[in-house]
Amino acid sequence: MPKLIKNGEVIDNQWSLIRDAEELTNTDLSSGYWVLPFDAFSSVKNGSGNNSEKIGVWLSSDANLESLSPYIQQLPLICIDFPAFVDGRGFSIARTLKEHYEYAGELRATGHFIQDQMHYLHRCGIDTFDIPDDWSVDSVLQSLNDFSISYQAAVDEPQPLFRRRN
Amino acid sequence: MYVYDEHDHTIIRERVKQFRNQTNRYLAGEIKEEEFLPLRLQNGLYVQRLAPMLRIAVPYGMLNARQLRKIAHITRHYDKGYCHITTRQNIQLNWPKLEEVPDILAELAEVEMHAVQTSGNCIRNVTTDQFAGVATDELIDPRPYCEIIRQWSTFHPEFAFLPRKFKIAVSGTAEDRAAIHFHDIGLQIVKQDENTGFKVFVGGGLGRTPVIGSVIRDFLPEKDLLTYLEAILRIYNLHGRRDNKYKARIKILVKAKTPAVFAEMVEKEWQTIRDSQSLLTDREIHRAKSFFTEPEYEQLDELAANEKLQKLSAENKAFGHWLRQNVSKHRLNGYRAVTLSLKPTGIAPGDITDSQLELIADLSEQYSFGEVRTTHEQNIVLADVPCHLLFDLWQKIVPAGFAEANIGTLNDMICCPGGDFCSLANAKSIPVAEAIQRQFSDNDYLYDLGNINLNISGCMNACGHHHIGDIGVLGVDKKGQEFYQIQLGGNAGNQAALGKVLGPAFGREEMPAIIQKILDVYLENRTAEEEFSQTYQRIGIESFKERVYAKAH
Ligand code: SF4
Repeated sequence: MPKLIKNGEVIDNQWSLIRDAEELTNTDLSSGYWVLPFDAFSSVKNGSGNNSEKIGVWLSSDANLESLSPYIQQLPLICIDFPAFVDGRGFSIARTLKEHYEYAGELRATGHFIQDQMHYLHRCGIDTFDIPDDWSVDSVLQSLNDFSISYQAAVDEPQPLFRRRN
Repeated sequence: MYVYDEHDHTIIRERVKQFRNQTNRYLAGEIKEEEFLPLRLQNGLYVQRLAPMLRIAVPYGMLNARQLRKIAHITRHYDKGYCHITTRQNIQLNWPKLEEVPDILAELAEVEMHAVQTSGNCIRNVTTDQFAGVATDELIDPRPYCEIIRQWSTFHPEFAFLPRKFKIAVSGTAEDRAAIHFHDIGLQIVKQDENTGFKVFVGGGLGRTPVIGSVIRDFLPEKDLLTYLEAILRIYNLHGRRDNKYKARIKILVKAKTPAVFAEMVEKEWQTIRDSQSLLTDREIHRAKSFFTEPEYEQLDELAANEKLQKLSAENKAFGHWLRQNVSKHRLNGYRAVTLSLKPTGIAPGDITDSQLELIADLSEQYSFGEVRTTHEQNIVLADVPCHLLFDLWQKIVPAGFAEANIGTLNDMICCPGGDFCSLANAKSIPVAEAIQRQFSDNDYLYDLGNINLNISGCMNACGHHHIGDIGVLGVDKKGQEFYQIQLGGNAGNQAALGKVLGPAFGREEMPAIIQKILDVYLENRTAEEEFSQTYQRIGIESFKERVYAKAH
């Protein structure tokens, strides 16, 4: 079981992520908490309004946020899925969702990111992290708190340091 | 010079701690090789041909005496007693031990230095003119803006995993000495009415696909600097290519979209964030500027000072040559900027030893308010020397080996570390530089040639800026053999131009003779006033080609 980190704690993960259309056809969406790929999500969304507070969406790093925008405010969970940790698009997607679209729900990092990116990801607006089972939680929490102060504005601190210096 | 407050200190100390932790986890096998790679790169640590290489940041080239002494200590204690000034004004150690790098970083932090983002796919050290603040043609001192950009880019959470590295340069002068046309972003400080702002160039760069940057904004008000940079970086981060390392720089994106469309994308993004808290304040601009005020200059008489210098030059020819070649004008009467040449024949261009660093620290305190600048030509500048102390200074640097009166000449070449050190190299570059210096050892001949840039890179990555030298030399690999291709007509400044390939490459031993032929064509064709670049532009590459590739009779 992967672990879920939120606010410096390991918490239970009630969401299941559906990778593709095939998995989707074998799933009964009417009960449980599901994270759908964006394409599937939009068709489910436009079809029926069932179980909507229990349907989230996951975005690949080439996601087009404009097409997601009509749904953003109602989504309880958006996952940003990292195909490879060096693919840094997710950082911009996270910030844009939180700052530009003012997304207020949970933003989660899934897929291949590394522990040493988590501090930055958190600054960009990621609330929860889906981490592999073999990661040391203590070590992860230390990395999350690598820095106590930052120069730039980001989601965690909308004021850049220059507006906060004495 | 910028001085850290408690926040800056905390940030850098936390970075050292973070990297120590990462290094320990790596050595314990808890971080995979490929995952440690970007972490160490963003702390300036490469693993090179012979040993790790650590690149220390010198923000926009400024160093003080204390920092120089610290670097001297580090080279002695952790390395082999010398280091290297890079073509991006940074300092490289060639032989540090990986496990000692956290200690080196901790020592650097004590003197407000670091190796943050000197490598990796992130925003790199911002560079500018080595004569910033003292240049006679300066509109506005670029350094406060460089510092503002440095802070913004340092550990920027959104832009640490860009498609590729990202370099920003700022110029505040009429003549561009920061190569702003050849950076991912080039900023030219301009005035519109009474307002300060920037002309913004994007998509310039050297490397495999050299491109001259395009203007995407004629005037960006100074307060909008960070929000606009953020918009450019976000567009690049989201849309830059990630499928092919060689097509991942922003220049490829700008080309693919066209500069006009790219500018629109940036503008659209910018509109959504331009009024955010990252909008600069008067207070912040003022704060940044307060660190770059004038030192306590004396009131000096320019005419008298100049007369005295002329007299000394007449009496001492060697001093006269040095004064003409290595000493530059200063904004203030009775002051000069002195370039210490790190290009004596036989020493790899830009290399400097621990004791030389200490000597320069002493000299800076005696003659130049305790500060120096590194230059992208791989020399060191004492920017504020009073004229009446020049002769004194000169006498001290002659025995130290910094007084080679070759600044601006063919022998003041830019040269990357090449195959002697760099694992990416196709060919060695340092021995080529040396062979050329030995061939052209007659200073009178060099002075007669005038200003001429010879730039040497050991591979396509172009760290030696070979595309923008009057003469560029590129190391190439032909079936495992080292060869050298020549390019002519590059220009890093206002007349930005990329060199053209002369023709098939040559073996290393042929190089001095080939350079000689190129110079012969110039000398035979030039008019009285022409420098190499002008003659080249007038007569074109063909005349050079004919001579160089003429069949021997
Ligand atoms: S140009 Fe090539 S050989 Fe020279 S330092 Fe850069 S990567 Fe290495």
